[in-house]
Amino acid sequence: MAKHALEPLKKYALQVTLGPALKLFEVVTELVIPVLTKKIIDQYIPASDMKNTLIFGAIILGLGFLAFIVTMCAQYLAARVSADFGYDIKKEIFHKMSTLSEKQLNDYGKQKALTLVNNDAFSLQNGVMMFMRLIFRPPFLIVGALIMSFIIHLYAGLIFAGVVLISALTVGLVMALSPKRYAAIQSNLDEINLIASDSLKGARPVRAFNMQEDEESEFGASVDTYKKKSMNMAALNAIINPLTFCAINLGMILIVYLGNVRVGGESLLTTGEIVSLISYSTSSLAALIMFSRLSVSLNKASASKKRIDAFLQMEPSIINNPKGEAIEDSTYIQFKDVSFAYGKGNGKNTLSNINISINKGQWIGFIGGTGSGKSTVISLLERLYEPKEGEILYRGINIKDYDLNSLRDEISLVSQKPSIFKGTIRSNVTLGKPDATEEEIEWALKQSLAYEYVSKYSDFIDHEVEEGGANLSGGQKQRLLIARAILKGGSLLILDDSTSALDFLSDLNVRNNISKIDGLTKIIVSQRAGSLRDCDQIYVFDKGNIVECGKHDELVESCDIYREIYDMQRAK
Amino acid sequence: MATFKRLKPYLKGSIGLFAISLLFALLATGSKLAIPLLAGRAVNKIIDPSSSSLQFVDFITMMVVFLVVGTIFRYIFDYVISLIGQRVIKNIRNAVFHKYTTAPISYIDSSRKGDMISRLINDVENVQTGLVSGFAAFYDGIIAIGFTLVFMFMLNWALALIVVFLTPISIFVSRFVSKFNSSNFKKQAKDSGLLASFALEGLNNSESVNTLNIAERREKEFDKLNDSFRKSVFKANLGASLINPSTRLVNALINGILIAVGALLVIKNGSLNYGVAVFMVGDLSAFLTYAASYMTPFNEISNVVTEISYATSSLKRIDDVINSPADINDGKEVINGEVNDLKANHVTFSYDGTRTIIKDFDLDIYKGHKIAFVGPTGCGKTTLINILMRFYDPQSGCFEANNISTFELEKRAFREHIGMVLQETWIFTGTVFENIAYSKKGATLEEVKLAAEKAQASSFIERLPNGYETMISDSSGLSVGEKQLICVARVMLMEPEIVILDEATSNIDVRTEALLSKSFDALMKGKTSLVVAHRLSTIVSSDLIVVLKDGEIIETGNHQELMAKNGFYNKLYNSQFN
Repeated sequence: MAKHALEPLKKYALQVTLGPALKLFEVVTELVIPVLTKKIIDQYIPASDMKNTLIFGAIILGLGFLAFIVTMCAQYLAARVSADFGYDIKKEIFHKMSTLSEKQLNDYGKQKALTLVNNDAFSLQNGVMMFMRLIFRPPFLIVGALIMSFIIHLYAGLIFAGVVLISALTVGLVMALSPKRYAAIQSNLDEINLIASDSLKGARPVRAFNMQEDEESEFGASVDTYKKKSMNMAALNAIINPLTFCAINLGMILIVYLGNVRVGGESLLTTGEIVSLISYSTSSLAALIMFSRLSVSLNKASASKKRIDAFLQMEPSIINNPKGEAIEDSTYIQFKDVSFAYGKGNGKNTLSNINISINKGQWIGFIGGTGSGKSTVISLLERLYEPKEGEILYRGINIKDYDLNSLRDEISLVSQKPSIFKGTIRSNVTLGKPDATEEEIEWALKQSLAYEYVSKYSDFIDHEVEEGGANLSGGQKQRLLIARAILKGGSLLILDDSTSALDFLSDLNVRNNISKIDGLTKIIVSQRAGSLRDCDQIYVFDKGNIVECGKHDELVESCDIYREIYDMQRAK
Repeated sequence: MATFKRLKPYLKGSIGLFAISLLFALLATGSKLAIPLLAGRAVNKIIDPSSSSLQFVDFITMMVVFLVVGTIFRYIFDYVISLIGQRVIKNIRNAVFHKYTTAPISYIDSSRKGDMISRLINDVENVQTGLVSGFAAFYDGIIAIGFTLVFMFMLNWALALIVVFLTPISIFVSRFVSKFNSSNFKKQAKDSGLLASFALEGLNNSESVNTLNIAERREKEFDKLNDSFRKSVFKANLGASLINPSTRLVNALINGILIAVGALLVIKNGSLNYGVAVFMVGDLSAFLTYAASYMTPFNEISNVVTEISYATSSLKRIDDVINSPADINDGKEVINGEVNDLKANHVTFSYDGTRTIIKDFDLDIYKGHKIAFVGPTGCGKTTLINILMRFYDPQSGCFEANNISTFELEKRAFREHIGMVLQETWIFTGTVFENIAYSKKGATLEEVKLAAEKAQASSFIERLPNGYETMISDSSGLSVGEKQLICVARVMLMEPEIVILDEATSNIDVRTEALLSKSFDALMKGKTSLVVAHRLSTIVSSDLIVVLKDGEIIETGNHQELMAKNGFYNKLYNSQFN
């Protein structure tokens, strides 16, 4: 697992160093050409030596060809390495996503996490490509031009050095000032992202409440801020071009002026020397401008790198650290004085002193008000979160010490949130058991009554399902999820209020079907007292506490809350 | 050119800026080119003092003037170009988002959200990068080419002609490569959208990914998409990166030819009679400088070809969104006063055109009545609400309000009369207050608190760290029941004329629901309401219960009547006590 965004680049160390080496060659040829040109102009043309003029012309052409081939190799390397690196870094990010806990992902922000894959990885990948392809050219070219001008004349060299210094300072200044601005832009982009995805998720309510225009004006305001911040950045970036232009041309003027200075009747510089110096400065100008453009993308890439680094360095709060073996003959599941709070620090407890004990094969019911903590208990059991206090034992050992994968394999959960993936009925049902046979799938669909509607599709279980199950009704989704859990075949089945969209008759039938599956321990979280009637043990939740537990008949006698729920449902 | 056509609507309002940028570009580029020209003349003056009537110092002075002018105008030009770019992408973003908020629900339902977001964020970014760097390079380039052409022809028309005839080779080369490459960029943009969608889907369902223990398998699937993206991105970038060296090669070639021919002309100066009287070494060096700056734009343009290719394929994807079918046939009629009469008139509907979901549905909904829809899953209850709200339109038949078909009614004017709570909760990122106040513009805190109380939501809201000012989102840890209560509070605040509750309380516990039902009764008193619920306790008090099966009405009546019928409803009702 990489800890830094650039870590995967190590693999390509050879290519990454070879690239600049090739670039160096390209630059050398580019620098040699003006020297040859100078020779032609200073020596052969005045001497009317057409033969040597042509020979040197040919050499110039040959060098051009050579540079072309070498450059091609460098370009190939850059494209190859950046694409491979992009692949590696996205893989790392995605992997990190799946190791972080639900809480960590929520705290980080899921939209922001998506931007990492979607945007940051790409700009970093582009940064690598730019780096390999273009970054070495300008400095090589400039340093080379600097050396050549010193060779031509000390003064010319000094002028050139001054010019380069000014330009470098400008670029450096801009590069130093921009990361902060760039980060501001990026966070604004996150906001745009958030507004848009909220609004897309709520397409129906937005329309029903006639809020389209309000959504658009909120979005528009964010886009305006983005523009403002970007212009802030642009105002800064726009300095680079004119200032480097100014510096280089100033150098050119000084060189021309120098050419006019005569010491003892001799010109300081020959015509040819002036011409090649001018050509060095024009190519340096082009190089500097290129560098400044690059610096924009590199700034972008470096901001992305920081974000990716921070993400990769997050320590997963839930670590798979199997230590113990299950203890025979121990209680199947036990919660011992478990407390939990979602928020950080001293927020109120969502659960306090929860004690639960479940034996293998039992039917267990959880009942209680909205927000009373039933689902939180399930999340703790799945180890999506860690308890604040107390311990949870599975087959006698703390689930922290149990192999996380085996634990989750053992549990088949139907959660409240219908989580359906784009694909087909088949791909969704078999998520928990990819190698399920046709018969098994049909069997599971029949148990959950999903078969009723799936069998009506002409393409049966290969019927397409939209993202989030947009083309299924609430009840259809729930049946599909129940079928998925049944097919998964863990030893513990949890239905977390997952028949709420089913009519009572279907609910009853599904429960009957499930009761016939052998060796299954079942936890049913429900709002319906009737659904829990046959449970071996019912836990009654209220405001994060378990107020009572027992069988239906006992609870009707002893527990006020339970009786109230039961009466209310029976009365009508 | 197709690209420019696509951009045109977003350039509106920036025409003035364009004119300004053109002016500044002319000034900046002119100065930039004048300096080498003067430098050349100055060099000639050094060699041959009789070559010009101007003093050497004059040349230097003029160069300094151009230097200052060039620097200032260059800054303004760069700034203005960025401004145009920013304006354009602002317009594009707003246009895409406008499309998203007005698109038919069917478009939203069938699109991948990650891809939609990717178009709004990444593709727009690509357009911006391409636009700013591309425009600057093109613009600047064309002006530079124009100027240098004039100067070159002034110096030596014969050499200038050689340049003019040879440079198109580099254009030809880059066009050839980029044409060849455009399919790679398209594939690359598509792959990027797929990858984003896949990642988003996983993030939205991260809990299930964990509990189903499928993280590893998801990673493998991601790997496949990632690998396909790697391939397309490699091809696209390799293709694009071939262009610059190729144009460089062409330039080197031209440069070599110019030196050879130029040298010949200088040597044979005077003995050749082709209309150029004097062609000295200084002229040749000036000419070479021009030729170099004439060719630079071609290089620069080929340098930004990658960005431009990204931008064009992204622009195409944005255009696809903009040109997707609009939310069809909005009516013009409005309802004056209240909806006194609501009915379904032989509504038949199918999502895919093959399987009929609603068959010839006919129903009179009396004003002030509570109508309940009951029936097994998938019988079409939610679909009816989709049709009533005009999220989907039926193949035949329609709903009518005050005897006007909802097709004739302006959607927003009709929807104003209705408040709904849907099965699927929607909480956006914002405070609790903002989430509730969403249904009523300018609602006060008092009103929101009252609505929350009615919705039985106040007790849990007050337990949140910052009460009504607590930031919440879809994934901020609220239970489904709590989210439903917030959605209910919205409608309590809105107090609409017609209330629609589609399984609005399915995850709310019975005790809360019992308390809630009193508030609902108060809210719905004298109002028309349509209720879909499985918990039959919520609907026994309805004026009319419509029992649906497979999109058809099989029984209607009030609770007593239906129980007496001893039919499907009776069976359904009794099953809850089994």
